[in-house]
Amino acid sequence: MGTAAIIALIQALSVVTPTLISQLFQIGKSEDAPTLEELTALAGMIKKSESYFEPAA
Amino acid sequence: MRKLRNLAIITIVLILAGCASTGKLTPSGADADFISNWYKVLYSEAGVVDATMTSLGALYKAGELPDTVKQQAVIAHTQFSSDYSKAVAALVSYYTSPTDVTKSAANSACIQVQVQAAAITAISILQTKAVK
Repeated sequence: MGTAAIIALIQALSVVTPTLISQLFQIGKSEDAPTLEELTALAGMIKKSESYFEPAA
Repeated sequence: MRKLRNLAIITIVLILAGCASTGKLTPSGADADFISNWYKVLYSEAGVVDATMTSLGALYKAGELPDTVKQQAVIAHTQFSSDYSKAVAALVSYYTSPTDVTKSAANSACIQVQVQAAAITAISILQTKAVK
């Protein structure tokens, strides 16, 4: 195997392997990232537009 | 043998450098920082818009807000509400199916929420100046 082929192999590995390792072992998983439930719950924060102008009960 | 060892060292260094540059990922493989940043923005915009609308509602109840302005605020808020739902859905979509396309769609949808929130703030500022 020629030097060029070895270099190409190293370059390919350096591109593909980090993504695979990160995805397989969740490296760098953020503690701050919201969960899917927290994300979905955002939708419930918005009131109906007219409700702001309705007389207090 | 020495060449082989050097090659192995170079490969490991390149892989570690790549790992460092991939950033944080959610369990689904989405960009966690991207989601976290937009989550904070959406959460904050919801609070700001709620406070602004509450203030406009108080002015209206006190008879200091014309019906036309109230109508403008309702229309702007209805649009904000629609944009907000779309932004949340787009973020969820990116979270569950992380691709460049879903990420770009989520980014655009969240920016639209900021634009619409600014429109509501503008109505409030103009009205406050008019009342003074």
